[in-house]
Amino acid sequence: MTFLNPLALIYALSIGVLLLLHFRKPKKMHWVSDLQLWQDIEQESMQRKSIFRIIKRNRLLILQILLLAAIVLALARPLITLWGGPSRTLLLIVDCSASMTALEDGIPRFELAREKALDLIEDAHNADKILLVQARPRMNLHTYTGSEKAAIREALNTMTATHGSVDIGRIVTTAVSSLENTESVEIYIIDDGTQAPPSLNTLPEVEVHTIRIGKTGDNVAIANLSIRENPFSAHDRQVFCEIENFSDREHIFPFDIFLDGTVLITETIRLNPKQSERIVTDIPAGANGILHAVINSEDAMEIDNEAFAVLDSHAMSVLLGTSGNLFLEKALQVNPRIALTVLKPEECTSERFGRGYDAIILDGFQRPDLPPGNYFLIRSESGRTTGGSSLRAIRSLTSPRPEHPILAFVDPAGITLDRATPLDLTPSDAVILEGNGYPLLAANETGIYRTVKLGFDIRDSSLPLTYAFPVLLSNILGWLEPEDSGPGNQTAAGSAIRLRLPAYDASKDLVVVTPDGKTFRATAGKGILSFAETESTGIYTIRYSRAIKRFAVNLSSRSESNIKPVDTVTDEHPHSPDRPATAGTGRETWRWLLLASLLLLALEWRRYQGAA
Amino acid sequence: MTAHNTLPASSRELLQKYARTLDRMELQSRAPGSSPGMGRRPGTTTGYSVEFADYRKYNYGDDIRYIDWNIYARLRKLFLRQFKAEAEVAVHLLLDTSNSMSYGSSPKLHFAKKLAAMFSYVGLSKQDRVGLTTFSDHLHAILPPKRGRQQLSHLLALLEKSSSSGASDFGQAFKTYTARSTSRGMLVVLSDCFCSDNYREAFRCLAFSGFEVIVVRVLAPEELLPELEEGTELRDLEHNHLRGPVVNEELVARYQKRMRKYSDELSAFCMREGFPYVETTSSLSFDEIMIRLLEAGIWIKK
Repeated sequence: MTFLNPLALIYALSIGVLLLLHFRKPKKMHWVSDLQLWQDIEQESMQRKSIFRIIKRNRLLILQILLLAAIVLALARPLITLWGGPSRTLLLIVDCSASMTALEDGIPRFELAREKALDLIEDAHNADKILLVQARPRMNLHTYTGSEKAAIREALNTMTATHGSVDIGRIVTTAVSSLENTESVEIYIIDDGTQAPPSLNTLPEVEVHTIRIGKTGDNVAIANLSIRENPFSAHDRQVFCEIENFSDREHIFPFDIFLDGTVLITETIRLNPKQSERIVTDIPAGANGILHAVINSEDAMEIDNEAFAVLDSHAMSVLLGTSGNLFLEKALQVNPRIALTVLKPEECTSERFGRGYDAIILDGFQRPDLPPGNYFLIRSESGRTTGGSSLRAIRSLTSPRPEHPILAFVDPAGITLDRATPLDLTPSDAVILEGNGYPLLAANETGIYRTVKLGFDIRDSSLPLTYAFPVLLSNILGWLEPEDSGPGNQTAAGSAIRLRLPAYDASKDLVVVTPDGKTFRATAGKGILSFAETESTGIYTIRYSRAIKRFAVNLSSRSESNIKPVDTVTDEHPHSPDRPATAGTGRETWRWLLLASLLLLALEWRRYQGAA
Repeated sequence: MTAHNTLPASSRELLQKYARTLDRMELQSRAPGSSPGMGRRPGTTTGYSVEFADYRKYNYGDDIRYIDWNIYARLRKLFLRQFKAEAEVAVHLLLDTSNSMSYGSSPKLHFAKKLAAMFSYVGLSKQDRVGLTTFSDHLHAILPPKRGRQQLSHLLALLEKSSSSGASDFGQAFKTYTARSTSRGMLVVLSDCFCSDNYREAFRCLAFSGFEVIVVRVLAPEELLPELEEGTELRDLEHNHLRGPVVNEELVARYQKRMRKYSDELSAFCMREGFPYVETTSSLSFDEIMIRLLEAGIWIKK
């Protein structure tokens, strides 16, 4: 006998709980005039004690134990082989990757795979144990018996192909490792043959059968759609799109890019076999919205004929608290991506800080008990004095971390200082710049918030006069409030995405709506949302704290877009030749156990009523 | 049982209510006139009652008032008429006041007190001397057998103030009683007969000491037909709340059998030893008590 759900046996612990309750149950008391006769009887019982008498005395408890045992066994789904030879374990792996959405003679590959799987199920014996594996970005495995054909058919009929890429080899390895033993195991892989068959050399006893569905390779795909900075204008962006012809014939098709429904670019593209083309176009300054690239090509696969990106370039809100710093104010004001608010030091209250600024710059003064946030502190470390010993006439700055993003395109060697105050460091501070061996610029990251500390007044240095000043300032602000998963807020189908949610309130609901209308409730720990249910391509919407944020999911997988099978050889042997004709018949007994538990329950109830 | 026959709450009310009926009853003694006196029972010797006994020859010095002159006229010989002597019986009531007697929805001790009052009334009304002793494992209170109305008041007062305490020990109590009692006669034991020691030896001890033993057993209806919920733990009322077994259906059934067997054994022992025995329950009516006492031959109707 084997159990299809052995984990349910853990519920057997409830029998122990029952015994504990039984023996700890406070007993009712009854006074009798004299115990002599009662004790005589009990003594006689002790002398004549037998198992039968014990059972008779504890009938109610024994019935309750049997009832629990029957329910636990039913939950564990025992499988009994009634007669005949050994049973098989069929590992049925159905490829649900994006390439399975391709059409073969007008029929989706996945439908063909489903039919093959149903045929295999019909040929299975009742005693067979069947593991149905959906090869998706997030693998799904269900266990059945050969007698549960209806349930397996239902599972197969509700199965759908995803828009993500799948590594069949990894899926097979994972599924095989979940088997208790690999004897009498037959693996059936139903896929389109776009990936090389997995190697199971370490398990020679396992029979592997591959059923290849794919034939055609006619596909043109948008292989990449991304947003990038304009190399000729620091504050402008461009859309970059790569289109590739994976088929063996020439394709001529129209190509369009829309920004919130407005045509950004439209042209006709001609691609020779195995040829690709890259298209770059400018995005209007300050434009936000959804970019939708689409090719109208007559090929076998639809889902890679369009791609999405989200333009979410909101201005970074920065609060500058200063008693007057022309260099700093000008450098921030000229940056069109920064919405600057300048306040006098006496106006900088905790109430003002709490208004949701992306970054706060305090220039030359302190504020005790700063609320959580991103800070750039210039000679104004909170809670700590800045009156350390001053440094004079520093000729050059050095960096122990030249690779740090804050120092990108910045050469500190040319910066001279008239005077500076070394920083008091905490263990989590990373020193970025040093002068004469003393820390002068440090960065700190605690949870989702970041802090940069500068140990000198920029007016006491040559920094504002160098080209490095605006770059350093931009780097610092960029590090304090980094963009999410790259420009365009997009990820590949099936991959998890990590997004920062500004002003996220954990006490309110966070809902993610998928392109096909499904909703998922989620939480964003420390204001960062990790979301992995991205098996469909399109635009996903996050609703939280009265705010809305979008991100795009694209196929972005050349291996899936290249739908031409590398291997079309089908090795389909539903019946093993050495398999005995009269195989054992496995039968699930949970129904009988459930019936038995009902009878026991009735018996126990009757007995209880009788006793009461 | 009808309301008419329900026993009154107190012994005094009982006697007032059923005095006429009890007046017609008499304690039947198997050894009549064991102690000569002013009683109404016929003695074993000749005396001065009105009941003729025999004739004997006249001897010098005999009272000439008893010479039967009719016989002298026929035979010319002097014969003297002799009359039966009058005797009295001492009735010793031994009332068990152990803790077990307080058991029952209608406590056994209350019922036993009423029985004792009835025995007292019947005995005293027939000029017998009646005494009462309460006991458990020792003697609690002793009222020696006496005659007269005053004794009835004393008996009723003692019954009223008696309460249950201690565990019963027939052997010890009876041994002490036989040693202290100066008179012999009928000895009525009113008890539930649940004693930890050997009751047989104790009763034989009384009989050997010259008492005419009568056993009146008092039980509660709940002792004969216990209605216990399964899983109930039993506690002993008699022996300081001693913990007993946990009840189940089988145990109750076996208890009932064992109880019947115990009663049968006690009854058979009394029959074998010649002790009149009657078993009562505290729910009995007056009429039912009368019937049982009459059937057992403990009382007779005049």
